Amino acid sequence: MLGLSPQADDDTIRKAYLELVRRFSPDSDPDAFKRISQAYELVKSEKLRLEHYLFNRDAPGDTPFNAYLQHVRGCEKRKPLAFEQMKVFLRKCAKK
Amino acid sequence: MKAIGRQSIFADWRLFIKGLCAFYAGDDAKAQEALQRFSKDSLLFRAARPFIHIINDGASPLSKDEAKEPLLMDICRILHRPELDHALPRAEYLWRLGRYADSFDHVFRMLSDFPTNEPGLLRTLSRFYFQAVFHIGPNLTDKYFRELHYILKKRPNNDVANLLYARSRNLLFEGYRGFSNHDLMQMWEEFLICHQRVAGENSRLRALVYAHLGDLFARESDDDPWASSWYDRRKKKGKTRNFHLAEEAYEKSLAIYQEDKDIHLKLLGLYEKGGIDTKRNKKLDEIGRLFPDDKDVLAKNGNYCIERKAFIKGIEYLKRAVALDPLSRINRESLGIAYIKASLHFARQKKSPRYRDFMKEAVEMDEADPLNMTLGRPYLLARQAIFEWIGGYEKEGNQHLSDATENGNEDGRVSYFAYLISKAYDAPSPLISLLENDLKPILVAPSPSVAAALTDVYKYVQLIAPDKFWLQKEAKRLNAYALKAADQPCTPRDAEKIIHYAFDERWPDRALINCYIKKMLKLDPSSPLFLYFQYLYDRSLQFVQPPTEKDLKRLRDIQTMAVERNERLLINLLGKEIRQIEEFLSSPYGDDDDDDLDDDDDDLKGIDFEKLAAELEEEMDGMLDPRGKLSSRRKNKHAAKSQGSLFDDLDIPF
Repeated sequence: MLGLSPQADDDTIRKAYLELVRRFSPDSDPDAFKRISQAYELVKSEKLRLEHYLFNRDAPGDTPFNAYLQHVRGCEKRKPLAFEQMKVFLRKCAKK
Repeated sequence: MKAIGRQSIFADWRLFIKGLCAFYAGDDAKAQEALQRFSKDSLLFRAARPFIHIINDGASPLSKDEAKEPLLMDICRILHRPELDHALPRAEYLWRLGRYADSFDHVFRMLSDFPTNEPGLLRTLSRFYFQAVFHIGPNLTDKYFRELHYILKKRPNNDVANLLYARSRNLLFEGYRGFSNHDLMQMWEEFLICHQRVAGENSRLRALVYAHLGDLFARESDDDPWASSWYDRRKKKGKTRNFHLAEEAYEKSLAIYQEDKDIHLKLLGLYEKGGIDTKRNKKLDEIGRLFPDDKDVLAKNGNYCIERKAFIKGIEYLKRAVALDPLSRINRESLGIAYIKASLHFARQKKSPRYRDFMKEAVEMDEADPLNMTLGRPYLLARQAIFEWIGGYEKEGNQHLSDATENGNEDGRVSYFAYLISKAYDAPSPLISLLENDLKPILVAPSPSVAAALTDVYKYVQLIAPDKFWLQKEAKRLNAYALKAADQPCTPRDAEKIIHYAFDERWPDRALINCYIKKMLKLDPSSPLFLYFQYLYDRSLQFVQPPTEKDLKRLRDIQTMAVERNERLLINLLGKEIRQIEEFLSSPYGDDDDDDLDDDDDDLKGIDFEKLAAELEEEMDGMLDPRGKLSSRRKNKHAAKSQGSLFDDLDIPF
């Protein structure tokens, strides 16, 4: 969720966390903020990080697509489709 | 946006654009509201579907005739991941059909960088597939895992895949009953070798794996689901899963990373549990040297000194621990207990200045909680009274007694406490007689609230002075009192305390339990708590019969009622019990027919004797203490040592 390698150190993690909470602040996206904060609590120290990496059993979703969408929700900002791409998409919807 | 009227032919398009703006701004509620308004089968309805699906994390209900794969492919493109549109939709379809391994295989073939440990979406997907094994249900786990293994065997040089598989496999097998502990150790060591190959050496990680193994082997044996109820299980003493392997694992962890205080303390705890005093003492000295200013270490050292009757040194350690963390309740209580033990010791030696100083310090740290029988002021004063009597100062003792019972004694708890404690401390007989006389007016008029208060006191004193014959006699008197009081009005809280107390007895007074359960169910027939007590009572009549589907249903019904009343503690307790019964019933031993209680050869079919033999072997390992001797069931050797040995069990619950 924080978009970091398991080998990242405490400073790198803290910087990534601060960057993410700036993007997904409690006002703009409280759910994402909560998820990011919870993720940070699990990995903020090396010991916690490694323990999470080694022994965590949580599945990041109920199905592969659910896992994908939850990943996107937590880690990526939504970017609009380019104009041409939207045209292609809408034409496809018109044909159905 | 340009103003467009509601009647305009472009009105829907305006709504669609508004919905998209909200979607990209992250305002899901607004986006959903806008995008849900289109009529079915319209272009905009179809265009909006992927966005709504994204907002709901894929949980939107899809109609039977809705083309699902194209929808998911659209989602991949909208989220700027066109490279996934041939992999994920099909994988999703296979997963939803229950073809879990096929779903994995499809992604494995279609995405070259999958699985991976590198951050990003593919790592999320990797985690999903390798950790789904813990969530798909016990009946499907083995099949899924076996099939994953066959798939990975086809591409043997994929170190990351093998690493992720090994990790999940090890975690899964940890939970399998009867799985060899030595094999588990070996599997985790193989994992470390694989990890080193993939990600290089990481000594901290190695240390944590060994620490994890230490925790696993040091864990107490699982609850026996055949025990008739939770109160039976509570009474069973824990045995470690494998003492020697736990010790070996902790030592390996510390050999790699000596600075981890938690592992030192866990190893110390292991020695304490195993009763190996020489190793424990040595470990304590080592920890004291490594972490001289750590409050947990200071507290451990302090308690250990008190145990050895080095009171002054012990109190010094505990004072330092409390000074480092004044809010730590456990350390404060340990210090209080240390003062009390030291005072008793010096009172017996008639060294009045010493015990008076200690009790003065104890009273200074008293707690306002009237139910705290360790640090509560009335209880400390009652103790001080007894110490004065033991020291030969009856007048001072009587004064303290009067102070103790002045406040908060309406339900007789302080008087009863003083009486029981005086017997536990072997106080002079005249004092005991005096205190017994003080009790008579309290016991004359039976009342459930008084009975409940007295049970609190009894349970506390029982921890201090277990297995005393006089205490067992006292229990009979208390039971008779509580039974007489059953005719009087009673609050649910008081009834609960009395029933808990009765259940906790070595030989529960069933008449007492039954009486209060019936009483409370008459007042409130749907009370989940007392229905649960009724269930426990009924189960206790069945001795060693394992739980059945009927029991499971009964518990679920009670849990439903508890949910309606929002009784959280009870909901959690019932949830735990239900899960244990479900696990038992789904195991090979859990498919007894309710009506068939006879021994029958047919029951032997389907039992894996090899697995049973392995389990028996593990149990035998556990039954032998670390020195290879059979551990005794009741290990109260300290209580047998001297008449006046109190607080022998330092683990007094708070």
